[in-house]
Amino acid sequence: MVIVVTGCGGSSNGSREAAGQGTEIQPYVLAVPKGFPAPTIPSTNPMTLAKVELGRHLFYDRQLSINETKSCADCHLQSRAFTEDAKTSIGITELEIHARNAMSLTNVIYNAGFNWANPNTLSLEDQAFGVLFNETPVELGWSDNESVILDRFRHSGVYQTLFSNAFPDIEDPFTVEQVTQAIATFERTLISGNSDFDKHSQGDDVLSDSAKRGSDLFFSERLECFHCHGGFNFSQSVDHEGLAFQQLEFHNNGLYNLNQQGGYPLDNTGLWEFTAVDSDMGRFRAPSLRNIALTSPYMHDGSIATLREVVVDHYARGGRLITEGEHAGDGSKNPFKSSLLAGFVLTEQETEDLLAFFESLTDWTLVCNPDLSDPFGNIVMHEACAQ
Amino acid sequence: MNIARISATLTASMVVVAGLASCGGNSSSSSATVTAQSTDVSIKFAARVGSQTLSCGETYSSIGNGVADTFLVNDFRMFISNVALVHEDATETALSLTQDGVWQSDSVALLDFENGCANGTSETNNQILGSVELDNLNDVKGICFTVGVPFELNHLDTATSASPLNTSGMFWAWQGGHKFIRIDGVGDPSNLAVGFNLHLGSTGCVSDGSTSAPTNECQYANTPRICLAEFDADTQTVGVQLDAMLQGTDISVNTASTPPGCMSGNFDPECISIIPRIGLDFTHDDGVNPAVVYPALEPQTTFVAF
Repeated sequence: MVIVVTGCGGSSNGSREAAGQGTEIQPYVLAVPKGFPAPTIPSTNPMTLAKVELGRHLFYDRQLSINETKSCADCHLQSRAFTEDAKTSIGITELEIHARNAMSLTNVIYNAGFNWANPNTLSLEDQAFGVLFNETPVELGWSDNESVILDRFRHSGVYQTLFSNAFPDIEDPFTVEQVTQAIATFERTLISGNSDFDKHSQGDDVLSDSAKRGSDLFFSERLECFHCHGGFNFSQSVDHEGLAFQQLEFHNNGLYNLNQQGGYPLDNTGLWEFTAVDSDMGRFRAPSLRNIALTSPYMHDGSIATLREVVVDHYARGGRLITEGEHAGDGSKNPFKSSLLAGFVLTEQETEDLLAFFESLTDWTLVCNPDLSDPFGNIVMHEACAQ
Repeated sequence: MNIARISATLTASMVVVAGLASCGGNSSSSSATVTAQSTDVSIKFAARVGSQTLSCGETYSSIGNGVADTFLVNDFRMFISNVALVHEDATETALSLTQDGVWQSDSVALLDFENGCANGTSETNNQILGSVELDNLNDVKGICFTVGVPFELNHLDTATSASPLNTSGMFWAWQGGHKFIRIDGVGDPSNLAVGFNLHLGSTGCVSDGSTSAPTNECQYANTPRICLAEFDADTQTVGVQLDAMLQGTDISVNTASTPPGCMSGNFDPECISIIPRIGLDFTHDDGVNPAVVYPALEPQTTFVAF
């Protein structure tokens, strides 16, 4: 297989011969935003235009679930920067409810890891595999049903063309591996680096004074936000070309403190679920804050409804206080809490400034990009895109 | 044994550097056929508590001056730059760092005493590798180095910089640049569990905002030049003493509404006793009272030869 990742002139005689069918393999050339590093693309799954197109169809096609009710896009809505309009995700049975809120797919090409706290999901292909095959809860219901679902595509004229163009040198491309590769390839195109914040960083004076003040607060030692949400992607856990190390961080941010012993609800223990190490209790990956104003509710379990509450009720007091009920406890006193969360005091104006800064991270060129939208027309775009 | 003698024992790793004048401009000579022999030099470092080598994820006792004096260490990394060998006549020879694409780039090296026990990276680095011309190994007596990243490299876009300057955990923001020292820890972890960190970096950097780089040097560069008058690279190690750094601090207390531990800010009272112990004057300015300068403690005991 000829691997053509980026750059021009890739459609050489060599790649045509390798394609076997006389089809030219056109590489997908990623538009890397200014100031962003070159992303890492696995050599086992090079990006091509045809693979992106197949991946986009699969991502939005409800035939991807066994009962044909949901696709990836039903929990990853473009209008919400590819996250969902629900506290936590609901699988195809409608009965089984996921313990966690679907993560935004913004800039997943730069993620050092995937899922909220799984230290072992290190590729988008693996992440997609999990969504297809998970059983507790069932998400798309592929377990024991993969041949039924793959046959839907095998017997579709449209998909026969899409699959053979995407995988021209694979005799039978209707496999789980090719499906996850195509979906991952589409997801790698969900790049966001054109918010007002970015325009401002490049010298275009588009930020309000309030948002500028909010930016300075965000990057201040007073608030410490940027220690976990720093860098070009507003997350320390990034991967890209030129890095010598894996940078995958997990933090306990003091959301819970069950029994005053540092406990978390048993269905959401974070990294502890994988390691059983005491100090890993409640440690989750800090997601990118790009497009954060569109991705409510917040936290791994969607337990905070608004950004204002995230700032005022949670981070300002150095952890959330739950006064009653089964989850009662003062998260600010969680013994496993990150050493960076001391809390802070904000004036009302400063809170407004911080929220204005978060708003400035919204990138409408991602949310309204027709190339990333539903080719079947089921998923409605953000109302602002019509303007 | 001194460094001059190391060169004799390092013949296997001796590198012949010929005709460098055309690209490196390493001498003012007009001759294009200058031939010099260089030799590798390794400077070993160790993070320590007393005479004990520090281990990430461990809790140490007798840290600081408070009643609760146990301290859990979760991170310990630092940038070192412009390493020089010091001769008996007090002249210096700069060490030319090996450009390994991982730990060293330009004149900067990252020392990494943590192994990903909490966050951070699993890889560790306890040495700086470089070379000097053999002729410059005579009469070497000591060593000098700078803690931190030079201004001209400090505020570049970290995402597109070469490793180790692209290490996200060591980046602050464009305005401030990199963390020069990052020690994350918890004071009295089994009881009070106070987050207490030392993040040393430049402050008073003026730019359009936190996300743009300053054009002029920062008011407080916070890049101490550390010199060890007697240091034998062949037999000795530079100890970075956590206990000395935190000696005058109660690590179980953090002043309310200030960063957890010392994050270099001039308003941060936890820096008053720490920053002067790493070879720097610290100006404390609480915004109400006149600023007070706490001078660097001499002699410093945070960096020692052992």
